Amino acid sequence: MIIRTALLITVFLSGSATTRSLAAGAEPAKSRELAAVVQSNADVAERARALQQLALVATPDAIPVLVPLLDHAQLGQYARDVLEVMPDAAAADALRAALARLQGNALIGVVNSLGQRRDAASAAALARLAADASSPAAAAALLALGRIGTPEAVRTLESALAGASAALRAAAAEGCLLAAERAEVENRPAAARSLYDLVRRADVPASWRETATRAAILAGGADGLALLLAQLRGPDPELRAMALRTARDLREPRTNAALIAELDALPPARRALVLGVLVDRGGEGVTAAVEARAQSGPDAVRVPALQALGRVGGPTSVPLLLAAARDPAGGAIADAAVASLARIDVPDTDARILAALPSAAPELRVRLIGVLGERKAAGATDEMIRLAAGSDAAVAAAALRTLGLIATPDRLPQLIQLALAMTDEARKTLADRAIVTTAMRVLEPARRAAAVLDAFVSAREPATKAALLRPLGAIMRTLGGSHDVFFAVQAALKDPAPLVRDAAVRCLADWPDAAPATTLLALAQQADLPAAAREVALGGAIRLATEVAAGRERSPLDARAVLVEAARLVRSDAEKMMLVSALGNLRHPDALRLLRPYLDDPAVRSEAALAVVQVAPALGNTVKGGGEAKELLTRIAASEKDEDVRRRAARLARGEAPPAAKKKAGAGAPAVPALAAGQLFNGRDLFGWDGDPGVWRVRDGVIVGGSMLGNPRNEFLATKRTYRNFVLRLEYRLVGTEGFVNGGVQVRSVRIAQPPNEMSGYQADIGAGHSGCLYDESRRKKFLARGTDEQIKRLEKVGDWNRYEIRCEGPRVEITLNGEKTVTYTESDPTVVPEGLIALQIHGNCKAEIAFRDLKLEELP
Amino acid sequence: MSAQQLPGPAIPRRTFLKNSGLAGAAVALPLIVPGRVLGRGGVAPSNRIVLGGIGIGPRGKQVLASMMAEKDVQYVATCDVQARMRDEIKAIADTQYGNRDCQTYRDFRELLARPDIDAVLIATGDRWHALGSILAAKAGKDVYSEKPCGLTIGQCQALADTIHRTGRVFQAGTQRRNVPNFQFAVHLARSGRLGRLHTVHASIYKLECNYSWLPAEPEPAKDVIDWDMWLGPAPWRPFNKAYVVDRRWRGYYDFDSGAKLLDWGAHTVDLCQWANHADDTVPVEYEPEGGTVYAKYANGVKLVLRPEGWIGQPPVAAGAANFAVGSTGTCPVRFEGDAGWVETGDNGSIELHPASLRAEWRAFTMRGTDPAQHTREFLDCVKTRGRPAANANVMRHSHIACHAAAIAWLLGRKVRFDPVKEAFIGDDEANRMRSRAMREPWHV
Repeated sequence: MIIRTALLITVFLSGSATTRSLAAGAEPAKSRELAAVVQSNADVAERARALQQLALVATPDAIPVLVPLLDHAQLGQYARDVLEVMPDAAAADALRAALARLQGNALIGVVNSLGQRRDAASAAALARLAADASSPAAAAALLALGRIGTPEAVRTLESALAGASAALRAAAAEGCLLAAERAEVENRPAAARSLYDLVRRADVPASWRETATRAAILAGGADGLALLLAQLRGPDPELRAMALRTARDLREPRTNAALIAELDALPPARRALVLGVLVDRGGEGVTAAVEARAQSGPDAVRVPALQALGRVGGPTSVPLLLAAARDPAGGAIADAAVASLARIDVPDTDARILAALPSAAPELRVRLIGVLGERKAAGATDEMIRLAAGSDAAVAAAALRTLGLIATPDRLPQLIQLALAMTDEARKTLADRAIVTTAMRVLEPARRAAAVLDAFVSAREPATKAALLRPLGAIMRTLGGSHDVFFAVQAALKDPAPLVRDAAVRCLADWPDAAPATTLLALAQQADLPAAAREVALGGAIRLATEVAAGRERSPLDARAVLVEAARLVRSDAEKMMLVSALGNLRHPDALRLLRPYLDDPAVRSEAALAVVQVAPALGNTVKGGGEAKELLTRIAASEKDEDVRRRAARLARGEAPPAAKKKAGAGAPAVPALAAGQLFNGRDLFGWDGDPGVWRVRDGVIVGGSMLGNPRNEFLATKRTYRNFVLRLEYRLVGTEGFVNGGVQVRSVRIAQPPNEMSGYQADIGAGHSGCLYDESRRKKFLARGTDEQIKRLEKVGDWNRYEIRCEGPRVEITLNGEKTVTYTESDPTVVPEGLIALQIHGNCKAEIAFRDLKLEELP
Repeated sequence: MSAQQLPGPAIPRRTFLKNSGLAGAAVALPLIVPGRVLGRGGVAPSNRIVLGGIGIGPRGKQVLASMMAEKDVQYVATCDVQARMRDEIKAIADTQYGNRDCQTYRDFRELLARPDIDAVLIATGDRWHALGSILAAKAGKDVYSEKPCGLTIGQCQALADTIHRTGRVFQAGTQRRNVPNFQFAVHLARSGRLGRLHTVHASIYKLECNYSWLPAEPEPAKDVIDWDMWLGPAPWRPFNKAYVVDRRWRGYYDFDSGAKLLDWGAHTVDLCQWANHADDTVPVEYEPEGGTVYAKYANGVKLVLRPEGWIGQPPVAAGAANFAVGSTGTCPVRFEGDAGWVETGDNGSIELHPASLRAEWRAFTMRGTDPAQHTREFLDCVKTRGRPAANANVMRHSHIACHAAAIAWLLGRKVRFDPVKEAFIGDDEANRMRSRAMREPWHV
């Protein structure tokens, strides 16, 4: 058998031939060879290594080589290690014999080794050392005697416990506890108990008395239990803490009953802690006891009892929780009950909650319906479908949300029927959402759209077809485009019913990839198309072409051709605005040609100027060679109202590099003095901020970003200085109609070059179901922490003003939405820089406008 | 109904800790546990846990940051044998608290003697974990210790025994017990959703063991680097600043645990133990083959400790990187039953079969290295006196399983182990490897 340890020596040690030859062989031979190395003139490293190997194989004949080394300054421990682990009694004899000769640390070491070996024969010698308070090894000797634990050793420990030296009394206390444990192992319980009691009464550090009390409780059976209760009732807080710890480990059968009795006897402040012990212990009587405290009594006990039922509750707990959920005072009692109902692991809970719904007050009914969703109570599907069609709007909304959580994909046909029957727009939206989330639970991605597509294809009624295009489009946006669905929707453009055609246009205009771009453009050219549909089609075509032009969407689509054609079709100011901002992404001389007329159009002049500035650097040669670009830039530099665009245009007209450095400068730039401390926004203009003025503006003292006409890409309005630790408070309002209606607040972020116009860093997300969540924009590209869906739905006032608080402190990022904390995140990646810009975002691919007000920054140290 | 027990975004962190059936943790009752109730000597009326730190380095800083981010913690003392690190950690604490109150120590015994300190974070090199934790517990402190918690089987036994004796709260730094994707994988195994469990797989570093010494260099002054204290209970060797300043002590037999096996094994074997309902026992057989160790539990379940073969992991070139990362990230584990399997790692992604098992998973990712939930659980237990997920008993068995596997690999032969006696059967050499004498005057 090859010994790897020995082999490795040849790799790591430039060892002698002797050392290398140790790979195999009988132990005595190996032992002799290694002992020879130890005795040789080899250097200390090689001798140390030989001793290490000797520890595994040494036979007693190596002992004479080891003993002289016990007080060797470097090799003492190595030699002693061999003796400590050697099973032969001769090793103990050698260590014991060395006691008389050694001093200082070497003596302590040998005493410790004898203790580890529990060498009873050393008890007398160790007792002499222990009695000599001046010996450096006295304390070690007491511990060794504790491990030995013979009656003789115990007598020494007992007398040391009453000795003069405080340090030795402490060591004796520990020794007594070790000896008592030995007595327990050897089935001498009385001896153990008397030692524990001795230490409990001794003049030793409190921690040893606490430890002895714990041991006495654990060893004492019924007496131990009584001792435990005495500590729980007693005045000493440290002993109480020890009792709480120990109560969890006590096996005595009557413990639960006794602790339960204490629940009503102890001062109220201690009861909850004992309740916690019972919950951890589990077993007999716990559920009933917790139930009793959950029903009545002081809130300080009742609330944790209700919470605990979520974990230890039984069948009888469910009605109790339902009753507590009805608590007229509401607040913490009802909250705890509802939370436990969501968690309790008891059969028939779903059915009981269902049965409680009719008699529950409207507000509670809504919460219980939410609980069924959290429980994924698939059995509640039928009832939810019934309630979703009922007269109470709040109940119906809750039922639809729960359906989105619980319905299994085989129920999709019913959900589709439900959605089709809805007349109320809000309910229809929720029903569609339930369809989409349920469809997403189909395991195979390729089959997720199937149920809705089948329903769409087989539908006869135009209204049905039109209605199904909404969830179908939503599934596509979540899933990515699918050929099957695309062709089906495209076919619907020729449907005889205008209703269906119109819905199909809208569906394609929001398509997740560029596939329908040319179809949409062709539609926009149809003279007989209703104006609204024409606008949607044109908007969709421009949006998709923008995505491709900006490089965000990979597609064979000729974005330039689409935009050239679209330029012929734009009519309204809104359409012009879309086109102009799209052209800002088109790296082609045609862009400048198409933008030129808009520089004179008062409705979109500024946007066009910005687009020229954006696209000109990409057409570098043209700029240097003068020509059209230079002319346009010169015009903009002379006449544009926005100072920033004007300056950029002037710089480009002079042939200077694009002002990319400007954005970077923001990161390290000094504080902007014109804003008072804690002030981020002056209420008048965007002083101190950096962002696209075509996207961000100030309206009635509110910062507004994005457009209801469409936002082609992510846009950020960032501070010009960086912030590290702070609390940022603000209010936001996000309104949108189509697409991924979303925005956010960046903190500790930086501007990045790729993808263009992006930022990287933490984002407190806003909208699209992600409000209150922490996303890592462009960096890890995922949610670092999320609030729950239920929480977000409950907290956020969609389309209205919402309060946001973002706290960054050390590695911690916390988000509070309308007063409730949704996220607490601790950064564990030390490479993440805890400092950066603050920025406001409006997301691309949506028709939405975001507004921010009351921005307040409290910087923390 | 089990979905509500799953980790997921539905429950905020503290409540999650309290309610997770998986965490196996004490119920925390944070609503009603003012420090005054416990009256622990140093807990101020403001209910802060007074914390000290010993040997805070790169990993220690992450754990400490996670603790200091908690409102109920006050970090007041830091100890290091290196002046540079003492000053660096003090600066971090003083900056956060806006004062100059963090005291520094070269000798951790002075820190442990402070009566106001409730708990300590131990993040030294491995050689100090067990003894530091033991002395802290004897001094009445609760302990969060980085893993591996003991260099030998003997140290792990002594530590677990001391924690049991002293009744202190102990949390090993095996934080994956409190990370959702690992908890979910364990849940699948424990609940029978994978059918009858037959094999659990733990990722490990490529095993290696170094017995050499770096060249001797002149020892710096004690108040710059205290070399004797750095070595502590480990065997003597000459000073070389690379061990201390560059932290190049990994892989050395004297300083690292079990041929590097515990660097990951302390986490991954621990999760395998949990998945196999084996927190109170260890495998009974260990057989090395190449860089892999095949172990077997008494209940027949196999435990495979291996550096390679993880999903999405490129082949490890001979002599190349110490470890490679698969598609689930670092530190992967895999549990296999007769009805399915699951594999997951530090990036939070989960591979499994059959796909229907995923229905129970509510996406909520947190990196496997993030100690936030683990430290929070420890702090809650400091208050309630409950037992955290990676308590000393859990540590004892998962660490002993790792050490036994490492000993089998070092010996290059199959060994059998008695989980009750915690001794190898019929192998004197292996049994001698269970413990090593501590360098005088240190002892447990």
